[in-house]
Amino acid sequence: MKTEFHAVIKALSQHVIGKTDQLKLAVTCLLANGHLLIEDLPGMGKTTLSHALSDVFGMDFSRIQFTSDLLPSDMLGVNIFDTVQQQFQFRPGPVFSQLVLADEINRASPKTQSALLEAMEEQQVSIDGTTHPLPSPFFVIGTQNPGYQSGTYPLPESQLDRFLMRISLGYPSWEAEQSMLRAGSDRKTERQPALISPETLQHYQQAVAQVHCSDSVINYILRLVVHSRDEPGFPNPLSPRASKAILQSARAWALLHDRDYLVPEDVQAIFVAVTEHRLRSQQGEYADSDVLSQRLLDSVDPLAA
Amino acid sequence: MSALRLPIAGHIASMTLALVFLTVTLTLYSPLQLWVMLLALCAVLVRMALYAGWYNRAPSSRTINLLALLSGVTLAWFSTDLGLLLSMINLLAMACSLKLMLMTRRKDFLQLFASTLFLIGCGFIFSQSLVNTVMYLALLAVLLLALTALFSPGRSLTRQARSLAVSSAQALPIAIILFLLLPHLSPLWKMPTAKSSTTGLAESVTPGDIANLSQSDELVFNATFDSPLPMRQERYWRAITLEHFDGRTWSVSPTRKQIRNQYQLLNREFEPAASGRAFTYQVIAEATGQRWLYAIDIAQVTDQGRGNEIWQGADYQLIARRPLMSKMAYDVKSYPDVQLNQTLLTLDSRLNLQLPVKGNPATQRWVSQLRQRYPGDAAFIQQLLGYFVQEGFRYTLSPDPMPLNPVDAFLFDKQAGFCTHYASAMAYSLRLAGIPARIVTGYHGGEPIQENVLSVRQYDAHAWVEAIIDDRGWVRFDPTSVVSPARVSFGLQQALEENGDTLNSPFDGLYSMPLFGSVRLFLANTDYLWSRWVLGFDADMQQNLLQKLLGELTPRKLLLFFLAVVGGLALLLASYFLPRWQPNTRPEHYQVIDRAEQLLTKHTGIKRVNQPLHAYQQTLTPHLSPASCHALKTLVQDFEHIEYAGKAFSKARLKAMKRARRDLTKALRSSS
Repeated sequence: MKTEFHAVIKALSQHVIGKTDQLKLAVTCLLANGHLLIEDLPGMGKTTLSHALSDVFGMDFSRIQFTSDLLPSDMLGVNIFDTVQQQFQFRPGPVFSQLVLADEINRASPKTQSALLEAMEEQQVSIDGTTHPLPSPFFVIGTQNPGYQSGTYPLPESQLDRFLMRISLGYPSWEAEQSMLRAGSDRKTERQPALISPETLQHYQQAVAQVHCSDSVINYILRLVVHSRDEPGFPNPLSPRASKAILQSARAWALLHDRDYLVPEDVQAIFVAVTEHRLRSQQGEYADSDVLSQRLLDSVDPLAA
Repeated sequence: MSALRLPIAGHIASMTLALVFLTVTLTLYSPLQLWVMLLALCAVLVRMALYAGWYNRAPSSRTINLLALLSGVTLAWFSTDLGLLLSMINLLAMACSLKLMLMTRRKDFLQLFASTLFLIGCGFIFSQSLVNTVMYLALLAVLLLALTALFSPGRSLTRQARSLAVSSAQALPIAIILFLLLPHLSPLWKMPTAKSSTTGLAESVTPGDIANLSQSDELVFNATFDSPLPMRQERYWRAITLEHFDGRTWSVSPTRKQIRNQYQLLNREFEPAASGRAFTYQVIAEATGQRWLYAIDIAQVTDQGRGNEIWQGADYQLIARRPLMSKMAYDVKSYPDVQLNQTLLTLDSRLNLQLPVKGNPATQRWVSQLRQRYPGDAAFIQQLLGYFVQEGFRYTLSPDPMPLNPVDAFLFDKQAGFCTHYASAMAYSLRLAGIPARIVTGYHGGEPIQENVLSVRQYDAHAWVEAIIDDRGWVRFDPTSVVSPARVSFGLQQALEENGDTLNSPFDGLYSMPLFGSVRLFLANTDYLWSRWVLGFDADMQQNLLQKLLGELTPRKLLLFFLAVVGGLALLLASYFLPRWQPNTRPEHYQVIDRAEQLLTKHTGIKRVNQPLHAYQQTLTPHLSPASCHALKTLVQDFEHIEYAGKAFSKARLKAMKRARRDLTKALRSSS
């Protein structure tokens, strides 16, 4: 792994203990310039992770707690009439941050959800005919409670795939939780100095596009995607957007591991995080423990000519 | 959606299978129990209901299990009466019926398909006639259509039929070659003897018995002559010699049976010497469930292969070692002019002077008077036969019953009867007169269905008398011929017409119509050809065929030939079923990796299941020696460089890869 990123992961591990894989995926997501969805029960460290990420990359951070009565304007900002200057003044909302934590995104009404997702996609906000660009880099971490919790509006499939990856932290191991308890108060008030500046991050984001991808890896991705479309048992086959996401994330993963070319292992490493939330039907099938993306990986040979 | 689950309503393949199954079950009416057939019918009705959509759910397996339990118990109850073979067939049909109700998956369909094929095979146990064969072939065709309908339901019937016809045409030559050329090995598994009823002549005869047989036009045997056909007067086909008389019934003498058993224990057999004029012919006998064979006196079995299966009795009788459960063909040479005086005549005389203790007093008196007047044997016999003519005896198939003292009643009261009445009366009278005599039952005559083929049917059944006359030994007397010469010269039909008597058959009128006659002859002929050339194709015929093909047969030549046939067929099938050889189009570095993968799989027993190479390498690491690990690592790295790194292709890398592969081979070899 590249030394800078090694340090990054190490720093993050001090906040979220024993979840190296998820942390690497989160950093990969950042590198790939995509948004991250964390799906977990309350209290698993979603917010901690977001804070830690913003610290490590020196990004300004804001948090939006989604509730059912949150309005789009509460999030995006409003034009307010300035009585002194006798004109409307734009008051930017919390979304105007480099790293936005959209907490419990599935508690908000669909209208608010779609406003956020639109901002994520366009990286700009239009209010009363004026377009306001969002800062760069712009990174949204959405967190969501599992759909079976009450009082939630599950994100529709068409909006779920705006998130490049979905990860789930899960319960920590015995040792991890033990050391966490020993360390005492975890949420440090003072910000740590940034290990990688936002500018360097952007530089790396551009470098991701330079990672070489051979035809055989592209074909491997295509075989995976086509398999989900041709074979029965996949309620939502993977779209071209998904295949682009796979390639982009795999490249970021390769860069993270200090390689300038792709191998099938890179695709496999990010595959579940990138595709599972796209493959899965949202209609209350969370209980289905079968991991669709893993099934896809198991049935396609990366070495087939 | 799962491809393995069959649709229920309107599924044509299942319905066709069900109907074929039902038809096959119906054709097996004789071996199957009525309740099994009813079960099959129920199963088909269930299928029909599902097909029509009255129900959309097959019966639950709990219901079927209960039914299976009940049926199993019932079958077990009956099985002691049925014997092994019939129980097994009933079990198969029962299991198929239950499965049919439960058929929901493709697997079930295929199982049922195979079982129905087996049932069709069972059908051939009970009859191999041409008609049956044609019927089963038709059923087979429909069954195969059901299979094609399962796999390509969208196709039209004509296209399915066409593809079926094409595959059958492809398979036919292979079947013919296998049939003609594959060695006929004796079966590993012999059919258990069925407890089916026997047909044809019985081991004991009460006058009147054979009359029942005369109503039947069932085929008994076909005889194919190499020489010209014998004269009608010579066509006395001996089957059973009856030497014991109890006043009513003639039966096989117990003493004779004992002698026969002793001979068989000692593995000795009566070998009559014979020479002179002879008929050479092959008999194809229909299944009777009995052991008697048919031949003209004096017969000698000529084919060596059958020598062990056919036994010659001291009463000039051919006996099969096993009951005829299916058709049996044997070659015989008969010497009609040789006298039957080669047995121990003293023993024969003693056996054949046996008389019932009491009964028939009128006959006893009459014979003793006659014997006093004619002390010479020849004269006595002359008078005896003359009596039948003088008194105007009639030949009839429907004689009045003669319950008490049958010989008395026949000779002095009714004076009308069938061949057994005459034979019985004559043989009894001869014995009373002190002349050893016995009854022979068999067949007389036969209809030429081809220039050199005689077809003998049950209505040709006949009984005649043999008596010992001096040193001439056993001499044949046929009292029936005296009474009704037409019976012997022209056959039963003619004899009855002359007497104004007919066979009691509604089709009698038909026999006189020329068209019907020729159709019947044609059918008989076809059936004969079928038995002669297809069913009768045994090891001997095969040997003849091979001799024609190969010249002189040496075991070495035969072995090579059979191997060549089997090998040729295997090659043919392999070229059809095995994947075509294709040039390996995979890039060279892939080929190196593939080879390494094969080696590793063979060595560690762990397959690469759609893993990338790194992951596979990590899986294998604990199972490999450090040297192998190192070689594998280098190999994988080189491969990644060539395949993924996007550098210009370098020969050096490929060479390094090949070297690493060789290292791996070496390391693996040294570690194992």
